[in-house]
Amino acid sequence: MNGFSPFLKKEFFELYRKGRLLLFGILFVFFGIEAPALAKLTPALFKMMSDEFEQQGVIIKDVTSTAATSWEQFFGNLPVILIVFVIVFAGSVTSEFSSGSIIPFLTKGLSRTAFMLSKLTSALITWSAGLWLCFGITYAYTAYFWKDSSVQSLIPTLLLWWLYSVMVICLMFFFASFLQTHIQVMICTGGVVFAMSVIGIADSVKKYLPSTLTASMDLCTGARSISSVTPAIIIAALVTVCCAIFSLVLIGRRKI
Amino acid sequence: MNILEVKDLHKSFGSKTVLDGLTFSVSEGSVFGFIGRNGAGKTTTMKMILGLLQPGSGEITVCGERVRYGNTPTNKYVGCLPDVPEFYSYMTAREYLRLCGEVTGMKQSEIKKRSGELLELVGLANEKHRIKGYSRGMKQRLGIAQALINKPRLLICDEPTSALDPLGRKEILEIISSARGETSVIFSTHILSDVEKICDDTAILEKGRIALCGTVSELKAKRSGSDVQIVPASAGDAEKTAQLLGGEVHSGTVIVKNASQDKMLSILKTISENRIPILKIEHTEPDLEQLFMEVIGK
Repeated sequence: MNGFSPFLKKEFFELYRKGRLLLFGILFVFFGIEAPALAKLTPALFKMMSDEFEQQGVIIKDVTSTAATSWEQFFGNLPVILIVFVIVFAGSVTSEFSSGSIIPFLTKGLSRTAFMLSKLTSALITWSAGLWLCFGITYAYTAYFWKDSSVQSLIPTLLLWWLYSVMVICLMFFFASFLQTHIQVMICTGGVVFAMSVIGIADSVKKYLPSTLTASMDLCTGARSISSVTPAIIIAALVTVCCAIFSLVLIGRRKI
Repeated sequence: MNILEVKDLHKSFGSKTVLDGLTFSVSEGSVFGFIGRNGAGKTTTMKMILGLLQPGSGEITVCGERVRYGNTPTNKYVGCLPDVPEFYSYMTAREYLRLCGEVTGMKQSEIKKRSGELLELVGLANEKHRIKGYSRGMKQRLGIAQALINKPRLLICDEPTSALDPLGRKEILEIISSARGETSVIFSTHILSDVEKICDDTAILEKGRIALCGTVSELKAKRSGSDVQIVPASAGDAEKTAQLLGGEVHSGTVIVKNASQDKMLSILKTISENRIPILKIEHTEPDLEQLFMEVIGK
């Protein structure tokens, strides 16, 4: 696999020079702080607005927030960050082929497998590091502000969300291995995610759908056991592995 | 020894045949001009030599090793300069050359030394800015530096001067010419004066195969003589003059082909006797352009 290590280094250098590491750093830290901060401020905000609500006939009494409020906010933010991530990374592979910037390296012996793996690895490392950083910040603030035990099994719950996000990222690279533009990659990735949510309306297939792994509050509050999503875990893992393998095969056949 | 051998190469895109039994070779240390009009199949051939495109049939060998489609091991002998090279604009020239060196498996000390030499050669040694600020000519010069980073035995240049102004073209031709000591060069172009300036051997690609091949002087010698071009003062005289001199009319100019010095004197005499007013008469030396036009039937 010629050229993997220098090209992986190039990928991170590109993320740094183009300001993407900074962008995601800010985004992950912001959302890490935002979730507990908003949960903490919620009662005060409602109190401030209670007079206004009372004039309109709505009486608000004793609004309290718990650790669960903070985590609900945290898990609600994750899809937003994932969408931004897909938008930023969707052109990572296609632009190299459409501009021809990859040609000198392919003619210098860089294997297409190494090229694709370096793209995939850099994206997954950036995403995973950011996700766990975001989680760590929220965890620290939530533990500081609330001592209640309204949420359990946080790490397994986040691991399931991480598996789902890795599947979406691999799906994006699968489409990028043969589609021509980043817009096509975004539309197809978004289309698959949307289709999953539509199919998920039917209760009978819900437990098989990877999108079930993002029902984080049900999982961490005990409303649903982690073992109940085992079929979705298996399917998400299979889709991830298949997308990664097919992206490596298809990039080798891509015409220049 | 031949550094590159192309044997009986065929390639079609749908019903369109681009290469139809293409055969030629490039000897070690030479600059080989590969001439053809736009769409003749020059870039297709180059891509096949680089293993970027699968041939329909035929065989390509570089340094005696057969080229395979995909990750061809023969690319370790090859440096490539595309017509309009694209770089990572956020890097500096030195950072880009370091990446090229690392991908080819060179040692850091070797990369540093070689980058310095090449940036000096292409006149970018003092350039500290990122590539995004480079002109087209600077990018082309950096393109040559990246192509030569691993001291390739064959440098493939696909129309390297076609997008440049005259000054940029001159610089690139000088750099390519200076590289011939350490590498063989295959240089595709449709700018015939470039070929005459730097190429040792030349081949004209037409209808998917080599129509003519040889040194520039050999090719010129294939034309038996030079032409006389006469521009009559009145366009109405063109047909009459052509009939008298046994020539042809092209866009108001009478062309008498393969005219010797004696024929030239005879032409002058005929014009004088018939009192035909003329604007211009020229005895042209045979050049590659005329030969090329003859080959492509224009």
